[in-house]
Amino acid sequence: MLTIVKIAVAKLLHKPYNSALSVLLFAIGVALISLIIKTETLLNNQYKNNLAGIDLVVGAKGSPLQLILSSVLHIDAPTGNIPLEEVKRVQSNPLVKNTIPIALGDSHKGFRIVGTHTDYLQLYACEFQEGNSFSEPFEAVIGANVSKKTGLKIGDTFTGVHGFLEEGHSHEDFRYTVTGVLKRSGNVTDNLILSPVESVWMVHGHNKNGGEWEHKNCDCCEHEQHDHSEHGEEEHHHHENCEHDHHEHDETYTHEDQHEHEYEGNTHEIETLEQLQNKLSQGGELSEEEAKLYMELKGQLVVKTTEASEEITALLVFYKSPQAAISLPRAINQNTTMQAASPALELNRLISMLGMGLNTLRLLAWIIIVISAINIFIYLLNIFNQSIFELALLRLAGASKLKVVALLYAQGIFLAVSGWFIGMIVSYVIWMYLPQFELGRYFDIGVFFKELILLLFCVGIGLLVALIPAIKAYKNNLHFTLSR
Amino acid sequence: MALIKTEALSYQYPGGKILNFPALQIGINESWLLTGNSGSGKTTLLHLISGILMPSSGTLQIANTLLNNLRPAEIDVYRAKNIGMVFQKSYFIDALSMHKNLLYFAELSGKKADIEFVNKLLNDLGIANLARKKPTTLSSGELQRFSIARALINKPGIILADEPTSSLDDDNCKRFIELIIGICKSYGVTLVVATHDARLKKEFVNTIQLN
Repeated sequence: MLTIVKIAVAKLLHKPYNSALSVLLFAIGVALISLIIKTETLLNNQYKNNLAGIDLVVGAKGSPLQLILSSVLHIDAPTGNIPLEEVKRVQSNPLVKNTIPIALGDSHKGFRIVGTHTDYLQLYACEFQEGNSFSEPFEAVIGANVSKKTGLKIGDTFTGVHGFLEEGHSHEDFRYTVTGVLKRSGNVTDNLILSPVESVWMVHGHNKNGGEWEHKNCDCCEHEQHDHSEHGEEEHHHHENCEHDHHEHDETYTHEDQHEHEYEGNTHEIETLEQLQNKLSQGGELSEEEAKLYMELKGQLVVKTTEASEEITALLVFYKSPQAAISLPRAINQNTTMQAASPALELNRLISMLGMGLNTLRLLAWIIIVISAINIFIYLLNIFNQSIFELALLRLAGASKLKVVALLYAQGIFLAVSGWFIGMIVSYVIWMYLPQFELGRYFDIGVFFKELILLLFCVGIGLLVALIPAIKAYKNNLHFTLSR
Repeated sequence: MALIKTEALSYQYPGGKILNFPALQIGINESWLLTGNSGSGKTTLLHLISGILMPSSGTLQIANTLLNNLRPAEIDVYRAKNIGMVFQKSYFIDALSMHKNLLYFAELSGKKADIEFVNKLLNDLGIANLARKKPTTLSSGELQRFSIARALINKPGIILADEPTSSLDDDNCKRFIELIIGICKSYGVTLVVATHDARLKKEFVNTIQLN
């Protein structure tokens, strides 16, 4: 039988262009299906590995899906920040069992620096490859991929870069020290740098002034936002390229209106309040209007002055009981400036949306495979017709009818399996290296069970396309062929 | 002692036409010429002897083996080990070198190719220097010599040649027939050549005439 296989391979290699074309066409279909399988598996893995029992994510108003992607899967820009005062109210809610803060803003060589609590490590059942957890600001625990790609090890120091790109404004004054390296876990922590929330606050606190906080956390903004003194006053109000909401504000306000109100309004209100206070301290009496204004301004300024000097990007919330799922998200969405989003719901929605696109792609891939299978069928039929006397010679040499059939089947299977193999290589190269599939960088993709089933399916296609030539070979009349 | 022995051999085609063949007794290491007009059954008789066709009636015995009693799979093995065939046109597997064509042909019979024997054969036929070439690069005369080598590769007792000289000119025809007769003599092989080529009559002492 080995001789039959050797002859089958030699015959295919004898016509390299025809064989290569057949294999290539088949490989394109296989690569597409493989990429679809990888995408689906990745989504499912992310779903399973990264939700980790998180019931709710609370963050700045904006797209709920973006909030989940940025704060749970760490693959999108955050929607903005939320004040700690409001966060504390959520934490103290009797329906809430536990919460974990997430503070984003910086990265190191493309890996996100996440300000959080040590509970985050327990949430993902992280184990240490070496070192320990963080306990002080600017101590950092790094994921396995971070360690591998950046070469950072225990005791090394590094600085964060503003935003989530590999290059950008560096916070040179604030150096993180690596205290622990995590074992590979197959979830988001592989690609994260974890540090106390205070680290993020301290890095960003030095140039924090009012409404600019959200801008600093937006990695989609190209302009430099740190040295505002160098720009005109009007310049940092503009944020036209930013697609997501940075501020929760009245819908009638424009983005610029919002800023102008905060600056001009603050100055004017403080002056007014001071004037009213002076009047009172000098024993003067306030008119009814002034008294009303005084109360209003005092109330506003109390809110403003007690405004959280710290903010976080999101809060991961764990319910005390399932009933919380009914009331808590609605309460947050309706009564606060924050939004609450359920990771399970949002990811299901994402998978459902992607599923429609993937189904279209899958259909296209199968059409390509069917066309390539027809191409292989025609190729094998031509090979049979052109080599009918060669097959008769094999019979004369002692090869049984089944061996001749095996020769044709071997050719069909060889083409299909080669197509599968090349398709796999193409698919893995695309997955691992092309920026469009950046997600692949974040997760290790092994040999999928489904891809092995695809191999069996390819073998089946190889057998199917060789069926008719094989039947013709089996029925071939040796006497008739040799008499021609 | 007869190597090939037939009695009352006949073959009926699917269309109903029946061919009856004369009784044959062909000895070891003999050379026979099988002649007759087109349609007289020369190729059919060769295919009966080689087991490609099964007789409708009569007996066919080769080296004490009654072919009538063998099953198809047994006939495949019998043919591979005992009979070599040469055809009018020399077909080889284009994808393989001549050397591999011969080796794989031997391997398909179920035994390992005897490399020394192959080399000796190629030297005796004067084609050792062409062994690494592909079939498409050789002339028809060279290919016919390789056909003889292929027919002898499994050391059979019988070589059946069907119109082997029809496509050859006079010089090549003479050279070929002298070569095949000579080599069959030297290797102790019985040769049966079926042809309507009148040029070959003077080369054979034993002749079977089909009508």
